[in-house]
Amino acid sequence: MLGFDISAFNNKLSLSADYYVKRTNGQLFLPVLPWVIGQIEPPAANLGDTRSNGIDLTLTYNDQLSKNFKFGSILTFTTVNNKVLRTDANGAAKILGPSFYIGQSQSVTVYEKGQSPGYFYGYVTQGLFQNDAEIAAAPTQPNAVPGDIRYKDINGDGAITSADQTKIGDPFADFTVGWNLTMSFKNIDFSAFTYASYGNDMYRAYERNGPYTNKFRRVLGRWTGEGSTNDATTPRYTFNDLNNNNRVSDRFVEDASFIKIKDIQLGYTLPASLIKRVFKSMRIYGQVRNAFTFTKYSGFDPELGGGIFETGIDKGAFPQARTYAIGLDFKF
Amino acid sequence: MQNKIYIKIVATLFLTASLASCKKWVEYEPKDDYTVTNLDYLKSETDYRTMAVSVYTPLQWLNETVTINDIASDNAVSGGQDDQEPQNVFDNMNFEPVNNLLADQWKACFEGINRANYLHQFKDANPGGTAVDFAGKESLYGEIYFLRAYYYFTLVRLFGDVPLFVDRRLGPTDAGSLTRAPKAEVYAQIEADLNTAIAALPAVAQQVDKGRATKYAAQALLGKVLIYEEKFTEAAAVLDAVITSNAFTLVPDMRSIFLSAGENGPESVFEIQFSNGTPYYNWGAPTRGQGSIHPQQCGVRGMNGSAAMPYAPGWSLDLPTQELANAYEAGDQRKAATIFDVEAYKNANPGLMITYQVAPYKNTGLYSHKYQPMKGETSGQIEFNWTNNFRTIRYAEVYLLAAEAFNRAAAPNDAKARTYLNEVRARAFGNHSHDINASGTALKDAIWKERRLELAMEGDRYFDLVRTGQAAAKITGFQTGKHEVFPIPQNEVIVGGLPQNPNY
Repeated sequence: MLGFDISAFNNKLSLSADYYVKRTNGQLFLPVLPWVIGQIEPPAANLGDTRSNGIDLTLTYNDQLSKNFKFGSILTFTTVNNKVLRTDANGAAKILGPSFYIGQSQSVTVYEKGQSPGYFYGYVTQGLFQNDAEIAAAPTQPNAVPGDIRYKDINGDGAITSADQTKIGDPFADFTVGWNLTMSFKNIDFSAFTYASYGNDMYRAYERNGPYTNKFRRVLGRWTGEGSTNDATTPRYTFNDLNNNNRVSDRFVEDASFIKIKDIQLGYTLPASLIKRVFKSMRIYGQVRNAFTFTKYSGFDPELGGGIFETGIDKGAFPQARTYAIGLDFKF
Repeated sequence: MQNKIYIKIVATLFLTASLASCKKWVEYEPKDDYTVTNLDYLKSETDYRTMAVSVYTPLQWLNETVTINDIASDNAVSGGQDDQEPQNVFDNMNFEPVNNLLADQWKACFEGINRANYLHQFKDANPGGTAVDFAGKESLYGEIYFLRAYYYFTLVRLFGDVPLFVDRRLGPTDAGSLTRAPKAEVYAQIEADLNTAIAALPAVAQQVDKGRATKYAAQALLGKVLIYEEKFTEAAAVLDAVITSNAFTLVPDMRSIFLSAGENGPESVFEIQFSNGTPYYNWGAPTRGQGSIHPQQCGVRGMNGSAAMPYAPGWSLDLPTQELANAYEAGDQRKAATIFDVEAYKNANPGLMITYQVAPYKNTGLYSHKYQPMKGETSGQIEFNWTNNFRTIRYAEVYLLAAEAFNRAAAPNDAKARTYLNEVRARAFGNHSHDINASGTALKDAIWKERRLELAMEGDRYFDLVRTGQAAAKITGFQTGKHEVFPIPQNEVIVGGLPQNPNY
């Protein structure tokens, strides 16, 4: 950890900058073993080491603008770079996240040395095949017909196989910004907290891509013939998906960067003269939590935490609800 | 002053203690922490016999072999509730390396192999170094080698080349050094194990304890293995030995074989035994009990009726195709024994007051009759505890294997091949008026066709289509050069460092 603090204008403005390195050693995992050696479960061991580093900037401004008006603002900016340093005794193991089912059992997340913990692992899409000539010219992708997703031949062996899977997303943000604003005028106070996250990916695991399941509206824009669309998220619609368009791919990965106004509060403190016989102070306030979310992510909530293998996997969890609250603070 | 002296003494003691323990390794005696360690295993005949039973246990985990195989073949569609059924990918031929059902087969077989290897490792001396000899030990080991061969045969048919190890049970330290042995080496080991088993096992149709391997079961399995290797002359000899022993007969009424009373009957060469002695209930691992889940899968949804109606409801999975039903000639009793047409049954038996739900997905109106769930044959968590054995090797199949071996041997004996084939047909039709009179390739095709009709919905068809080169012609979506084998579990590629099968 390395940092400095400066302040200016009579401490009204201060800047604090830190470079941090945080190591988490010995995260508990079941040792991953090949199933060839049998079904006896080995005891959990402290196998996973991860390191996070980044910079943390905090800019604080507090001012009394007039006798009655106070203003405060705290802006934080944090970058995060997560890396797995060790996964087992020799560091080589790649740990797969648990599988789930969206028309095909899928396992998306991987914990691997040198990578972001629980990054997304799958195929890279390259639009849709428009006609037979394109299929013939592309790396061998058996059973593909026009309208199916075209996958990228990562290892360049001329065929699409499971060896062509690669990193297709990272559930962790490149940087986050938090902004806390406070103001008060006479007896009225106002505060708002805004939080933004940039570069975090989400995997849409809530889509049930089976013939008889309900569909998302985007299916209306599916491929219906040559030239209709080249968007890999809307392949042709079929009951007999031999190309396996539902396999784990960046089709389901979205940039879930967001800005959220997480908390807004407006309060009024009653004049002391009114209540001094009973209380020291009394404040009445209204609050909105999770007030607004601005994001391009198409799911319910772009901000989903979870364990190492669950972060960013959106299985349709209930979003953080917007709540309205009215409250009274008493001090005796 | 008093305090200072005291501190000095404590410090000295600490220093002495830490110097004394300053060795690189701590001597660890497991007995300090555990009352039972591996040194307590295999001390008596009973210990050996009990542990041998545990080698049979993973057979009961192979429930899905039949389901996967039927659905992947041209005999059945997935059915079930909807397209979300995990079996559906086998119908669509779009299974991937991450697949729980395939992983389950792999895990069960390797667990069985490790268990067999553990007993093999301590055959001459137990873990404590003492020899435990008893009458019947060689025969008991015959069962163990039979089972190891069975597990390897299951693996090699499903996955092709697989890790091969026979000396000992593997442990975590072996994780980094696994390789896939060529199929030919695996087959050579299967043959060796079966020959050992044949020499050691009793020549009886059934052991006193039913379900245990016999000499004839080992010979029948060896014959089948040799046919997969296309060693027809050797296969003919070993299969003929089972037939000429006269230990088995074909049961005239085929349906009766698949009823509870018909289990381990005169046609049974080897059966995987299921029981509900200890009812199982874990939805997290539905195949790990002692009962079977397969009849539950095959049952008709919402099947209900009067008390006299014998069928129990199920999940409408693994539905036979109309094309299979049409393949049976008129007068062939196997059609009704294999395929259950629920609507026809309902109309024929108005007194049973049958109601049922039409299969919601890929309905064919037909159900697997061989493994229909029957009332009263499960208990506890009913879905997992069906007692229906898998009739893994029936005498009828021994006839058909022998017929194929004699027909395809270097010096063919079509007369014998025809005789054996026609034994099976005579049971099917109740007389010899449907006998086949062909020879050469036409006879071979007739035998292959007969295998389908006789063994349909018993989980062999897909492997038959692959080994006879008919798969691409018969199965929609089958890709030559890929689907001859299933993908090995992704875990074994990523963690075990094993190469994946081609084109997966």
